[in-house]
Amino acid sequence: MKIITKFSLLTMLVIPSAFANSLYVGAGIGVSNCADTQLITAPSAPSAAPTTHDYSGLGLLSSALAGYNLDLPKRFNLGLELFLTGSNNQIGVDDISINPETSGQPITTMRISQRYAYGVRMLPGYEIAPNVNGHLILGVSRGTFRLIDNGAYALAESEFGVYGPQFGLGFSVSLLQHLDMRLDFIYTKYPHQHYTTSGPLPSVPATGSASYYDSLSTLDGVLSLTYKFN
Amino acid sequence: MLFKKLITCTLFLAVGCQQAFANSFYVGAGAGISSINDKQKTTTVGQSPITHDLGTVGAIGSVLGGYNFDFNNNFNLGLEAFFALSPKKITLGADPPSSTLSNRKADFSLQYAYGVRALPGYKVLSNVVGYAILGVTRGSFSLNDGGAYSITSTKFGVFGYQLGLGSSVALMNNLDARLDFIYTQYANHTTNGVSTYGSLAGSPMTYQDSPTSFSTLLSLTYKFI
Repeated sequence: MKIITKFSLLTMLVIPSAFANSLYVGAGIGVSNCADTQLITAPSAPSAAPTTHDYSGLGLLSSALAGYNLDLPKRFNLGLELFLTGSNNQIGVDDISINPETSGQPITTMRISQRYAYGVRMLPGYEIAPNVNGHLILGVSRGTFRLIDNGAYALAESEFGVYGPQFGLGFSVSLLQHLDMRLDFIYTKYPHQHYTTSGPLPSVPATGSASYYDSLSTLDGVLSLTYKFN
Repeated sequence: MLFKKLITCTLFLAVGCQQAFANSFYVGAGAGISSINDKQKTTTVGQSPITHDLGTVGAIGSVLGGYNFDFNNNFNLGLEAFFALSPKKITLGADPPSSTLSNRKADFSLQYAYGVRALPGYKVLSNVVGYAILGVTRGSFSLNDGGAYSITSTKFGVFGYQLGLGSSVALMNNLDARLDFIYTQYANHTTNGVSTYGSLAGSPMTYQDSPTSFSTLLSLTYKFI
């Protein structure tokens, strides 16, 4: 009995059951996919608009987080955390030029870039195996995006921030007593954004305003390391 | 006596910790979220090329079967075949109807993909394996355009490669949960058409599609051990 107790204590030190109440901080890297269903309307150019495109592209992301984990009965737990994510993702359209041989229009682009996002989330979790915790992710994110069009559809420049709900799934593995590795995938859906510009529409012989309706979402896969203060 | 107790205790822990990464066949099924992206370049005679970063996000389902080799030094290697369905369509362009074209909408979709992949892994804990994903896949795509750029309807298959990262947790003796992130790059494909766009109508044009996908999959696998 004594031996088993000693062995168990030793095991607890070597394979720490590390999902106790604790503050934690972490950092991660991963891949982020930004998608945007964009509708452009231009009442003065009914032959060219409205037009719709599903834009999407992959980029890299880095993330920092800090939170507190509450250990609940029966192997349940709950994490509450703040996060900040930066990304280099850009999507859009390039190299539209309307018959350059005759009109001499310059090369034009329309780009939407995902810049950064921050927010809060909770992670209701369950210890699915020794030293392995599976968790859901439910959060609110504020994403900042930039739209620049130098004439692909119109002339526009806008930076906007928008709130959106976040859902995901992940699990964390306790590597050392204070160190966890986490693998998360997170989907964030932002509500429609509307931006109206005035000015000419270079792609058609018309004047007047054009409106961009952007419906953005992101899908992130993140590998993080977290340090626990316990 | 002491040695016997230690062995008994170790065996007990081994059963309790579900050390289940032995040589074994396995089958599995998973679901998740996937983005399908397409860098599409349309080139029409008389106009400079136009490149759109197109894509969308949707649900994905997958089945797989394979064999895991355990090398007894914390390293292991899974070899598996897979089949995945991702039914989401990308709207390439939807323009107002004209007098001759009532449905000027183009869409592109990855209908299904199958292939083989290797999963070189390392046992980070007795019940947790982290692994890389290296694979070859063949994707089946469809492109339909009712007049946004031309009138075209085609299906084609192209090969691609897969890179990824994942982790597997032994939930029970025969049951693992897996979380995989997989990036797939497919080969370019060119489709020919005849432009329906404004003053360029009647000119030869091409669509050059360069599809990629990024999938996050949660799977359960059953091992025959």
